[in-house]
Amino acid sequence: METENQNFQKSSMCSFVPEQEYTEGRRKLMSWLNQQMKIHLLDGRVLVGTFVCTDKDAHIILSSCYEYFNEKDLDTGESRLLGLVMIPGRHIISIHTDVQQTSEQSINTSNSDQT
Amino acid sequence: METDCTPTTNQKNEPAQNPNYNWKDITPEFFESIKDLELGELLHGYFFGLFEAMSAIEIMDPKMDAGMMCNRESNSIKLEDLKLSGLSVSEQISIIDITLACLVSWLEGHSLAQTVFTNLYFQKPYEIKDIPLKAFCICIYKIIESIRDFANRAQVFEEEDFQAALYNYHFFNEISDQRVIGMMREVDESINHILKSNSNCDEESYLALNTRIKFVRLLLQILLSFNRRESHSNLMGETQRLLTTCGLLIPSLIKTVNKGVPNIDHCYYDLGFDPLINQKLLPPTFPRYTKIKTAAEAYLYFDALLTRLKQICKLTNCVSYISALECFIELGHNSHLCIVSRSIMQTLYFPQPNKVFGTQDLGDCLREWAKSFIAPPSLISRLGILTNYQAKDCVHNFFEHCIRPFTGLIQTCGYNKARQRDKLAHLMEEFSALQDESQRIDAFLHSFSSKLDPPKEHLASFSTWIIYHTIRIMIMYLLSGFELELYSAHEYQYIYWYLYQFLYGWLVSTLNRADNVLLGSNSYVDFQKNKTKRNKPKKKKTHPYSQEIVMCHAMQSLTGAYFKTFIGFQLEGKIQTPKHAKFDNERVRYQHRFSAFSAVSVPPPFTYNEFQMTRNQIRDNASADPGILYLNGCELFHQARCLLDTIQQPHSQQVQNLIKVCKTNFVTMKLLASGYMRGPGVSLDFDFTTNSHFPILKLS
Repeated sequence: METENQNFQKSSMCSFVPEQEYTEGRRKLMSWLNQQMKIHLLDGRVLVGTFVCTDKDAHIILSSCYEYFNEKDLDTGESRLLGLVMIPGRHIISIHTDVQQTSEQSINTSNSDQT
Repeated sequence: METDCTPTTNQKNEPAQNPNYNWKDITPEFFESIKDLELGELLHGYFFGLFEAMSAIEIMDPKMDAGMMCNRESNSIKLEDLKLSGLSVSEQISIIDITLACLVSWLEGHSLAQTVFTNLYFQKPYEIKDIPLKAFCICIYKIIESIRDFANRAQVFEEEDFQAALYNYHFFNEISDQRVIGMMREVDESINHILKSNSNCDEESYLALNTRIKFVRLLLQILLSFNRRESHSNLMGETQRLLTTCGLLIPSLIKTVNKGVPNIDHCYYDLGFDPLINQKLLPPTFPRYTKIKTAAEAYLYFDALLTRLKQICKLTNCVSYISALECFIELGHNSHLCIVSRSIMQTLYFPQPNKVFGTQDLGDCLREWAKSFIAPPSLISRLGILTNYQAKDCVHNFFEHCIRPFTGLIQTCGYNKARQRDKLAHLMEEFSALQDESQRIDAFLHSFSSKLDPPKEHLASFSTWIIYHTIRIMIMYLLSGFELELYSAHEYQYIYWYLYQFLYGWLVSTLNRADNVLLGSNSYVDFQKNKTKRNKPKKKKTHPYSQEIVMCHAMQSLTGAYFKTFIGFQLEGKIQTPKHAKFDNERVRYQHRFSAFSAVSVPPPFTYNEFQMTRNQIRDNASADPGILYLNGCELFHQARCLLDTIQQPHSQQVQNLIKVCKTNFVTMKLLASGYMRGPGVSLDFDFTTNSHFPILKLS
């Protein structure tokens, strides 16, 4: 978790836009980086992986991505490991992030801040 | 997939690993947020960039996303509806035919999941009530297992020619091979019984089914008979008998393909085949679209396979290393070898690592070969050099070091042609290292042999032996480029030049040296009333390598003929050389083609400048007249042919083909030299069908 936070900080540092000029949207996208993400596709498949990259057209890249053939498989866990995938925005129905992890992360962050 | 064959093990435990997600929908937020990005800008973390992004699989791209297929409506029947009993004879025949065609497609490089295991009966063979089909399914399982075993032991396949993955299908280890063969025999008998007792049944169909059952059983028996830990030529008799019996069934199999269900394309799904059933099991690589062969094509494949296996049986007669190597090379030339024959050849020669035919240690085998090649004094026990422990150690270590490269050489012959070329380049490096060592120990052992009475020369014994192999590998490397169609026409010049000027010349001098040494030591042996058991050169005072030397001379003339002819063609403008391109000029190409040779110290590599010098010299000698060069070529073709004619009868197929090439080219060159078929209107063509390395020149 901590390395992920470092990534996050570094990525904001190396970006060309100065930090104070970040828009609300950018800030949100940054906060989702390296989070688990669940994406429903038009053909019914569900992809779960770590969000690592996107662009203006919502091309999303997930790493260590698992493919579930339908909603039902998500419960049974019957999946196929795909690895790194790029999902064109036009095939996406919905996007979810894992809130639990985010909150855990924020707790971790606050912990590390205290120490 | 809810059957006994379900690949569940690695999937059922996944939910346990999965954290309990608490998903929150961010779709609108996300699509709103990305509007803030610039066009073409990537938002990413520190450790992720465009470079990593390039290797991602694109979802919903038909070329990359295998999963895309899964959600299509499958045309096939449900697994629950599969007809497990009361199958008609013609249905069984069709199922068997299609499955065998699937098996062949698997052997041609497709995955099992997309070929044999698209047959739904393979999900639950135990539940099939019709005994012939049940026995057939289990027998095919055994055949697959056996072939996989050969392939995995031989390790001469690459991802492009064989897929060994089983996808967790269950493999009936509880049934022994003998039991399966017994089952097939029982089926055979019961069908015969039906034929006898029931006169109004469709006799031809039952016979066709029976032939298929017999064929599959024999196929399994053949594979098992190759799978001995020790292989001897006297044991191969049984295998050959099986091969012949099996081969005789093929024509009737092809003839009876029509006894199956008519209109097979429409019934494909109803018979219980589902190409999409295993789609979920495929690896996340590019989807491979599998086209299954027709049954008749598949049986032709089996026919060719049986012929190849028959040829492979000959390998067991090759006692010495070199004869085995020649056999490997010859079989590689003659036919397009499939993965089964390539693997079986390897496992037949090395049933266990470094044990030739499972009995002789490879080190000993190499010793024998070196001894018969050039008779190094240290290996002649009578001379007693090895009684010195230092000398003994030194020779022992040398042969230990030989094992790996020499095994590699045999193994290289098993790979597919494209990979062979890469492996040959690596082998050159290994043999180059051996050269250094062989020279050192030759010098060391010479200090012993020179003190003998009479003194013996040990210099250039082991080193000559190693150099002989090095040159052979270099020749193989250059020639393989023709087979793989790597060279373009303007490159032929220097490839043939290298072979003509250096490689074959060196091979001749290497062989001459060995020949002289052997003749010398032989006369000595004769003098000793031939006490030793070595009776290798057949008659007294014959040159043991005369045939091979003649062959090399012939090849030298032949390559020389091509070299001169091609200079002529270039002068005449029939072959264009790229001149102006910065990265694709002749020098760059030359250096690329011969870069692998830089690893070898003896013979040293030759540079592009040397080639240019030779070429200019030859041009000047001919006063830049292509006619004279054609005449030279013509003479050399003739010379090659005369040399080939002197080779001992009966000529092998290879020699016959070479003679044909020489003859035809001789006539063409004669025409050209006398001024016919010249000028810009005549186009030049190369025909590699007779010999894959030496083309027949065609003018039109």
